[in-house]
Amino acid sequence: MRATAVLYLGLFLLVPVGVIARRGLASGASSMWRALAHPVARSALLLTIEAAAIMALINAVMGTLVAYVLVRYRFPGRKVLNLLIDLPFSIPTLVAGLMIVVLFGPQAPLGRAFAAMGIQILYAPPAIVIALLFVTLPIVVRAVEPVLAEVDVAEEEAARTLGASELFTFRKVVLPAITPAIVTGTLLGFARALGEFGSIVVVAGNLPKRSLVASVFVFGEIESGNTEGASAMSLVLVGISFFVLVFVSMYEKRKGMRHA
Amino acid sequence: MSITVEAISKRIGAQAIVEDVSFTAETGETVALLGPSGGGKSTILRIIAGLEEADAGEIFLGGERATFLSVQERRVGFVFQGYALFKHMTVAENVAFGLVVKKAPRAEIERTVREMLALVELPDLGGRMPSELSGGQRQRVALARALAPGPRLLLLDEPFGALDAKVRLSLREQIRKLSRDRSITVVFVTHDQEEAMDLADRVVVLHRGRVEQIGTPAEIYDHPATEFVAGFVGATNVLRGEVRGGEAAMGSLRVQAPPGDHEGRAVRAIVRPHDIELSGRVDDQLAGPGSEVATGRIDRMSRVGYMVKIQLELQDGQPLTVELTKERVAELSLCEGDVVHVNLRGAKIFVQDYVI
Amino acid sequence: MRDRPRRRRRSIGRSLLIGAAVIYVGGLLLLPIATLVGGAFAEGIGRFAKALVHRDALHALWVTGIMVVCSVALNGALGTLAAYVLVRDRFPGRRALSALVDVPFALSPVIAGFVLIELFGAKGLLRPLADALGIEVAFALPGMVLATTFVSLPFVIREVAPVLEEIGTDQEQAAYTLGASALATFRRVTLPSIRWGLFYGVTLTAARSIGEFGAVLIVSGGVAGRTETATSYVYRALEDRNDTGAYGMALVLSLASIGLLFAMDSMKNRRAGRGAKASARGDGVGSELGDGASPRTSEEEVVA
Repeated sequence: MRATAVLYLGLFLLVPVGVIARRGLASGASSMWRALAHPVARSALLLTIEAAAIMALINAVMGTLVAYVLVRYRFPGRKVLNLLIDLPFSIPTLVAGLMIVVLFGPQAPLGRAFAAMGIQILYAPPAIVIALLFVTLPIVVRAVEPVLAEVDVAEEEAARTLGASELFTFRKVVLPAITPAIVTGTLLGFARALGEFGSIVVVAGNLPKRSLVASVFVFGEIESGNTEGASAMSLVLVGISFFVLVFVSMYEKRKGMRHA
Repeated sequence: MSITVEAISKRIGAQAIVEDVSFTAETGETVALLGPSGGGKSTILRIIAGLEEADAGEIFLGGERATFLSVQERRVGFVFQGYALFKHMTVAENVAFGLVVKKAPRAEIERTVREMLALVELPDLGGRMPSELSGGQRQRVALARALAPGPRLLLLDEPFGALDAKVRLSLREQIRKLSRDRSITVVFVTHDQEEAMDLADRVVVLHRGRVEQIGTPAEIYDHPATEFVAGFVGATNVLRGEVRGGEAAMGSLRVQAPPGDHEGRAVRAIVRPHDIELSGRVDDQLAGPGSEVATGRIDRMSRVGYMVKIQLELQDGQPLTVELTKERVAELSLCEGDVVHVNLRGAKIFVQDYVI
Repeated sequence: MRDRPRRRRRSIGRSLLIGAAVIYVGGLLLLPIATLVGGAFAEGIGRFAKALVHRDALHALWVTGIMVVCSVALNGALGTLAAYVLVRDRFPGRRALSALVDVPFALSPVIAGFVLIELFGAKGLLRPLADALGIEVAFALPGMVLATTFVSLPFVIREVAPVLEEIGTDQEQAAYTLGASALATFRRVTLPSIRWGLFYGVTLTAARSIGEFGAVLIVSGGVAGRTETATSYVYRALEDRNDTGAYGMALVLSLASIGLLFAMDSMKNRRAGRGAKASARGDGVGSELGDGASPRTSEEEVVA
C-alpha cells in the first residue's frame, strides 16, 4: 500500500520537478542566461513579478478586510458573500478572463467609462492585475479567517474598556495575531500568480514587452518550438515559486502555525 | 465614584435577559450581583461598562448620565471571566496598555506598571508572556491591567471561577484591600454565595433577570424577602405544610404563621439546618402523624469540619437536614437510627398563591 | 423607541467596512459573472444553444467529461491512499514528499504541459516506453489525462489528510481489536469518517479539472474534434472570432462552476457541522456590539 502511494506521488510530483531541473541544467547556465537576457523574455519576467507583487499588496489589505468583515460582523447577504469568495476556486480561469473581457470591453459601460478617461484596461497591464486579483481573492481571505476567528473577542473588548479606539484595538490586539496568516496567504497568492495563464491569456493582449507575461511567453516559445527559451523561463518561474514556498514553510514553522 | 443603575431592561428576541433592574453602589462600596448561572448578571455588568446596550433604563456614573457614553469614555476597569489578557504582549505591556492608550509619558508608565505588579504581588513577572502564567497569576495581571489607568470603578465578571480554593481566597483578600485603600467602587458578578457574602458590602440577588432582593449579607441571609432568596442563599430545608389555626403546620412541626388570614392555605417553610433543635431520645417508634410532639428518625450523620450534619426523616415522611455542633451531638449521645424530638427555632414561611 | 446617539458613531465605521468588503467582492467577482451570465440570457439563449449543438462543441464537452472522470477517479482513489500513507505511516522522506504535494498549486500549468511534452514528445525521455506500450501520450487523450490529474492532485490529499489526523487511530485500533481486517476497517471505519473531506476534495478536483486549460492546451495541441476540451474550445473560438461559440461554451462552464460552488458550500457546512476538521466557515465567532449579540451567559434557568 505504501509502495502504491509513493509511486503515485513520486510519479506525478518528482518526475516533473526532476525533468525541469534536468532540462534547465542540461543546456548549461550560460545558454539559459542568454535565453533570458533576450529583451522580450526579460520584460515578460519583470511584468509578471510586478503584476503579481501589486496584486499581492492589494490582496493583503482587501483580503484581510473581507476576512474581518466576514468573521466579526453579521449583516444581510453575509452568506452570499461567503459563498462568492469561493467562486474563483471553482471557475475555469479562462472563463474568468472572458468575464473580465466582457466587463471592460469597448461595448460595456465600464469599458467605455475607462476609455473616456483615457485609461486602457483591457489588453494592458491593468487587466492582468485585475485578473490576478480575481483568481487569488480566496487565498488570503481563507488563510486569515480561521486565525481571526480564534482571536478572543474578549481581548478586543478589554482593549476598549482600557480606552482604546477601534483602530488602536485593531492595530495592537488583532493585527499581531493575524499577521502570520496574512503573510503566508499573500505569499501563496504571489506564487500562484506567477504561473497564472488561463485568465491572463485572454485579457492581456499578450503584446511582447507590453502585456506579455512569463507564462504566456513560455506558451509562445513552446508553440514555436523554441524549447530552450521555454525551459529557461520555466526554470526561473519554478525557482522563484520554490523559494517562496520554502520561505512560507519555514515561516510557518517559526510562527508555530498549524497547517491549515 | 458612585454608580446608579436605573430600570435597566434588555431582551433578546422574545426572551427578557434583564428586566427592570435598579440598584446603586456608593463610592468605595463593594456590591455583589449574585444569582444562579444565566440570569442576566454578566449582561448587567457589561451594560454598566458599555460593552452592551440596554433596551431601556439609564446608567449614572458619578452622578452623570453615562447611558450613551462609549466604552472608552466611561473609563471603568473591567476584569473578564476568562481574563482576556493580550496574548501577544508581555505582562508588563498588558498592564501598561491603558496608559499607552492615554499617551502617558514613558516614565509614568513604567512607574505605574511596577506599582501595579507589586500591588498584585507579581513584581518579577513583567517580562513573561500570558501563556507562561498560571490561572491565578493571569487573573492578577488582569486586575493590575484594569487598575493601572486609575479607574474609579472596577467591574469583575465571575473573576474567580476557574481558580482553586486557596488562590480564590487570596485574590479575594487582595480585592478587598485594594478597594479599601484606594476607595474604588467594586461591582462583581458571582454565582457563589459564599464569595458574595464574604466580599460584598451589599448584595443584589438576581433571578431570571429580575432583582429579588438588595441588602447587606446579613439581611439577605437572615431576612430573605422571597422564596428564591431564601432557597438560594445558605443551606436550607424546604418543608411543606398548611396554615392551621394561625400556625404553619408541617406535619407535627408548628411555627408562627405570617400575619393575615391564610387559613387552610399551603405553605412552604424554609428552615436553616442550624435553626432546628433536637432533644431527648424517644423510644424507638416514631410518633404517629398528628401527635402533639414532632419527632424524627436519624437516617445518617456525617462530620463536616466542626459541625455534624444529620439527615432526619420526619414522622410525615419529609426529610430534614440538621446541623449541630459536635459537642451538642455528644451531649445528646445521638446515633444513627435514634428517634428524637424536633423543634424549629425559626423558619421563613411562604404562603403559596392559589394555583389551579 | 429610545434615541441612541452613540450607536451612530460605531455604526458608521462598521458600515464602511462592510460596504468596502461588499463592493470589493461584488465588483471583482459578482459583476463579471453577472455580466456574462446576465448578458447571455438577455440576448437569448437560442443563439448559444445552436452554437453549442455543433459537433465540435459537443465533442469538446465530451472530452472534458472524460478528463474529469479520469482525474476524479485517479486522484480520489490514489489521493485517499496517499493521504492515509502520509498520515499514518512513517518512512524516510515522508515529510519531503508531503511538502511536494503542494507543487501543482504553485507550478504554472504551462510548465506542467511543457514537462509532459518533454517526456512524451518526439524526443521525449519516456517516449520509448510509451511506444513500447503502444500508447500515444503526447497530443492525445492519455497525455491530457495525465496533465489534468497532475494539476488537480493536491485537493483530495489536502482535504483528507487533516481529517485523518484529527480522528486519530483510536477507532481503527478498536476495530482491529474486534477482529476486523485492515481492509474491512478501512471500508467500515475510516472511509465513513473521512467521507465529507473526501467528497469536498473530489468536488474541488472536478472543478479544477473542468477548468484546466494551459497544461492541456499544450499537451493536446488543441485539435478540434479530437483533443479539444471545453476550455480549449473557448480559446479557439475566441481566436476564430466565433464569439457566439466562445461565450456559449463559457456560459455552460460558468453554470457548471456555480453548481459546483453550491455543492462545495453545502459540503463545507456539513463537514463543519459534523465537527470534523474546522474548515474556515467564516460564520462569525465574535458578535458585534449591540447588533443582536447573543447573551454571553446561557439563559437556561437552574432550579434553585
